[in-house]
Amino acid sequence: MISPDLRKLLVRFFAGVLVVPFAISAPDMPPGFPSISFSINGAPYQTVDKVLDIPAGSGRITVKMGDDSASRTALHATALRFAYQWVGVDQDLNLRNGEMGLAVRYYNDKGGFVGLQEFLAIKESPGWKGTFEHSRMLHRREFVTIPEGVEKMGMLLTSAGPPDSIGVYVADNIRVERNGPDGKVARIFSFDLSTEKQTDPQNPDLWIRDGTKASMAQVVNIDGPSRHSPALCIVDDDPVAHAEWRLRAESYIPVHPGETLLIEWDEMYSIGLAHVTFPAYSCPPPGIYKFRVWASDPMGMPIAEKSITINVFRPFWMKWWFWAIVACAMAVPVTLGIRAIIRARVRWHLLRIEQERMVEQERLRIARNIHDDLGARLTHISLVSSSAENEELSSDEFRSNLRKISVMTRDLVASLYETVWSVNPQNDHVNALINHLAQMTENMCQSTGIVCRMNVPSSLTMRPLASGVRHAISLTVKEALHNAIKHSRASEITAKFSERPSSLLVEIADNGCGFESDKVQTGYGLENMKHRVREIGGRMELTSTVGSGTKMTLEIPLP
Amino acid sequence: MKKSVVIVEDDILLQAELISILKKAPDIDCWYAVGSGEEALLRLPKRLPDVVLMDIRLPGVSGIRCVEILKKNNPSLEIVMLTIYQDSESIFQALKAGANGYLIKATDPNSLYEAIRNVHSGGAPFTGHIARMIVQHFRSDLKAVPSDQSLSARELQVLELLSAGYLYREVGTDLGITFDTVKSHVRNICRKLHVRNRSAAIAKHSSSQHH
Repeated sequence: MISPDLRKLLVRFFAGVLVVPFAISAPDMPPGFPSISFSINGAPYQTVDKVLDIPAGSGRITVKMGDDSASRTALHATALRFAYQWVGVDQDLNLRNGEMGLAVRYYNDKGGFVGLQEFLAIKESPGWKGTFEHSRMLHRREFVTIPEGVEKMGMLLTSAGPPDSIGVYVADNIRVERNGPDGKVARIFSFDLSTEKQTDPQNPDLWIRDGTKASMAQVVNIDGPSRHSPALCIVDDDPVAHAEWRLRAESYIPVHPGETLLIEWDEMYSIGLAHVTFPAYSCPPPGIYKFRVWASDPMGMPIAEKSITINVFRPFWMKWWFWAIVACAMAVPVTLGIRAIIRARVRWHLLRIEQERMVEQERLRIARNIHDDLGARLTHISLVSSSAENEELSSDEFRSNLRKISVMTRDLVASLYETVWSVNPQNDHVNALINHLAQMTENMCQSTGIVCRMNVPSSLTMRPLASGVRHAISLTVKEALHNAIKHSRASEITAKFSERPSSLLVEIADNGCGFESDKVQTGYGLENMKHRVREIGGRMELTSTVGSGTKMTLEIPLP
Repeated sequence: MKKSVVIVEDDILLQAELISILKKAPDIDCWYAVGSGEEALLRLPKRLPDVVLMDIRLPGVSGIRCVEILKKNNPSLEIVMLTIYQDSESIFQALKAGANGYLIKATDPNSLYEAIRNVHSGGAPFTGHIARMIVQHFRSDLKAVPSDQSLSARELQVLELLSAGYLYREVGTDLGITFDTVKSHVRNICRKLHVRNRSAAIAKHSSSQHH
């Protein structure tokens, strides 16, 4: 005995041997074997050899088998029936339906055709073995009710079913019976080719051949296990034409309208379709499949098989590593992008903070200014005026106090103007600053009687200057003028203002006593001035010669 | 003969102070004070004083616009601007509009009296900055203009010295002319500034009507 394992192995081996030659011999298919082509969502799909690669999720796959009109004539000559199966998708072999059969025709008393009733034969009759010899005839019984006005009934064997039907249909031993008025069955028609007396065995007396290709209506000798006799047969191997055996008009069976007749006959058949078919499938899940096509002769005997391997593969975009790579590839730019966004936000935030800080500083500066300058002076005025109220003061003291108040208030107004000027954004440019400096110089000199000479360019630009910068320059120049007026004992002060492409230049010179540079570095607010100028990115230089005056040069970079 | 004065000043306290100061001068007769440009434009034309003291900054119709309108209808009316600060820009605009002079509000009474007494002879005290603005203004328009609207060589000299920080007295010494001559030059410059400004406005107005 062979062990089950070994048997399984052998089966598998022989199965391989048996199947593979069919697949390999595909190019040598017999003529008439349908060509097979695939299309996905309507677009033709190229097959590479016998393996068809289809990405999963492709949608609608249509398989077209057979040729259309172009090769129809070639097909005509050698028609084959075929069947197909997508192994793993189709449960069974798809045999294609064809129809032939026996039919009765009704005629009125004038011989006019008034109706038809068909008894179709579909696919194969049970017991069909591929040849007449090996197959068994089946007995079939059908009832017909004769319609009104019908006088005679004709009969025919026909292959005029749907176009493209091909196959064989055999019928014999045809009888028609009626229930007589006495309840007895009366046979009104009987035909059996083997017992029929006839002049020509190939041309039965009762029947005539007809159809678009009458030669396909034949008489065959069935020499099988169940019988040895001739029978009427239609061998239709032409998908376009049809043929029929028709009862001669003289043999039409007289009938009565309204009566029910029993028709009995023996038949066997194998019928299928040729020509084009295109079943559609939705794409199956990933895997390796086979699409098989069997071709058989019109009798249903297999002739050839074709097998196409279909590889429904998981496309790369459905695989995990693809998305891993995509994720990795995206990670870098996304990270960079996010970082850039964060950085821009931080920068913007810092800028805003810086701006807020600057605004805050500016507000602080103005507040301090008002407090230090105006507050102090107002306090002073308040003090002096309250002491002026003292009745014990002499009129000279009283007047002196009032003069003090007058001077202080005027200073106060000037100081207020300065603060307002420095805060006013309308003055945030070079032109306003230089005009302001010139006016300030003029005013300060005039109040002391020192001759003032100015050199101001006739045209100045509107280049922007921040309020803080303006204020710092203004304070520095004021300080320098103050020093010149207070300490230099000068008779003349020269102020020169000029605007250069990248900087603003201020020169305040006096013709006073001067000082030794190294001795007077501290005090007089010099350190303060230098610090202030440095803070706005400028440069201050003080040169002095004993006996011939002092000169302050201020250079402020312009944006 | 007393000089009649009307005050246009929106600050009530300052208004009262100015009135009381003016009352002390025997040769000045302060008629009344108004608080807005609109009121001034309504009341003034009915009976014109000799001098108007006009605040530069007024709510509603500005002092400068007020001067423009008053001067257009009454060219002989003398107007002195009052300003808190030595605000050259506003003063220059007021001069262009036809103001005859200006005064810093925080001034001593004597300067106030002096300004009113000598308004037609004194003109406006030009600071260097105002002088510079005037020079620039006359230079900016290069088109040939009638002689009554362009500066003479001497006037230009005066302006240039003033813009270099010279005082009137120093200008006189430098050019070999009297203090009063300097003043009259300044007054002429002011007049030309105003005339020029007015003709420019008229030209602009008529051209806009033609097109």
